[in-house]
Amino acid sequence: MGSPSRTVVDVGALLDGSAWSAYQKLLTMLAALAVIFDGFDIQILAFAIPSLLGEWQVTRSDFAPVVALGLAGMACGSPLAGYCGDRFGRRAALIGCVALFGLGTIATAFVNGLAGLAVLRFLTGMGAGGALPNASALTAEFAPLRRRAVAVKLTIVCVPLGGMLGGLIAARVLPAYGWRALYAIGGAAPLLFALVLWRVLPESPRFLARRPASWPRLARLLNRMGHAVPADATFEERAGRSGADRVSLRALFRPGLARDTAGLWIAFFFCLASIYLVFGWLPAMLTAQGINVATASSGLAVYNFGGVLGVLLWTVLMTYLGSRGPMLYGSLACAASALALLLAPIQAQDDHTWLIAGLFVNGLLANAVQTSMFALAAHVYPTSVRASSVRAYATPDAWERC
Amino acid sequence: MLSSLGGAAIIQAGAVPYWYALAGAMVCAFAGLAWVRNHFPATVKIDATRAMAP
Repeated sequence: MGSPSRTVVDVGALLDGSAWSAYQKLLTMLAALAVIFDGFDIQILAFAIPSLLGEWQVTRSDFAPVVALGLAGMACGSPLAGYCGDRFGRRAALIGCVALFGLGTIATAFVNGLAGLAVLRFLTGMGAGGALPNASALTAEFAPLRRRAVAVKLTIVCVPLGGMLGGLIAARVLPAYGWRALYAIGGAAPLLFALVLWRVLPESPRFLARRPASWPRLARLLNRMGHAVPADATFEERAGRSGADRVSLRALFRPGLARDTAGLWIAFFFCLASIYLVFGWLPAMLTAQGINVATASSGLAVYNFGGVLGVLLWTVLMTYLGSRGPMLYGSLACAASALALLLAPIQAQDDHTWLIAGLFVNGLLANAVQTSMFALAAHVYPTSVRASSVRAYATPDAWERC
Repeated sequence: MLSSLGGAAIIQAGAVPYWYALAGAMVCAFAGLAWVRNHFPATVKIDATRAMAP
């Protein structure tokens, strides 16, 4: 640390004890925008599959490995980008991920076969999978403690928001210009946004605090955030130094926690399976029934729109009712809404109002239950365990370390 | 990833198996959540109780 005469600033305590300034809110909005593009590009293949089927003369099952490779890319990209975020900075990692999924998406507009699509889908997935944890981490690290949960939730809810916007755009672009135009738009927008981020987005102050060479930059950043910090101040990040966050996976299965861990894993697995069954296959399934591409895209958009509302609604509900009732009834009602869709007319000549309404309700409940699980996981585990393993799915930090 | 691979087979079979798969997955999610013992209580209620405490 510096000489005793210099001011020593604990960056974490300074940010946690301060107001959430307009500048910090702007940075949260930038991270949220990155996640909107992320949500769009995660789901873009689902919108395009019905058009690709006709053009390439392939079957729906031929796309199964392509969809799976996209998710495999996300699974690889998330920890890799987390490592890069820790090593080179959240800013660089986030911009790199946004640029990667933008490039991958725009390059897909030029492919002519499943092999090329699969490779690019994997690369796009790596970028998309890495962007979310870094965007959430940046949001969390800029926000004061009492606003952190809201800020992170606002960022995460942008995944279905991106899917919803994607559906609305796809419903207009696909019938008129085709799937290549959709990919061109879906790739160009995040690429341009990556340039904006490069110009505007600063590095996380908590990350800068751990690097003395960056302290002058950190002092300027904190001044811009409204904190009067001397230019020659030295910094520390006490919260970031804790070594207590390395706990064995076995801690999750110790007596008293094993049952809750098993229950949470089962719930996470099946709820995510339900959501990704829709994200990956809904438009393809609907067009197979004879529904046109625009309506099929709108179906996925409405599912995502329901998801955005559901996340917000369940946040309020659980504040007043706790987690058990809203989550249990929510998951049962979600199953019931899927069964009710059996009754919705689904042929090309039918009126699709009930189908769209059913998808809205199903999206609302599935996404509400799924996002609520993060809060439940954070509650189930004691701090000593939560700080490591549970964070792997409960907070952005863990996504980086998973 | 399993939903990607399984999803292709399900949609080949038609809309009915697809809706059943969505419903079945959420019933399993319900079972998992019901298995969790340590759900959290209403925070608003806790705040009110604390506020009333002497």
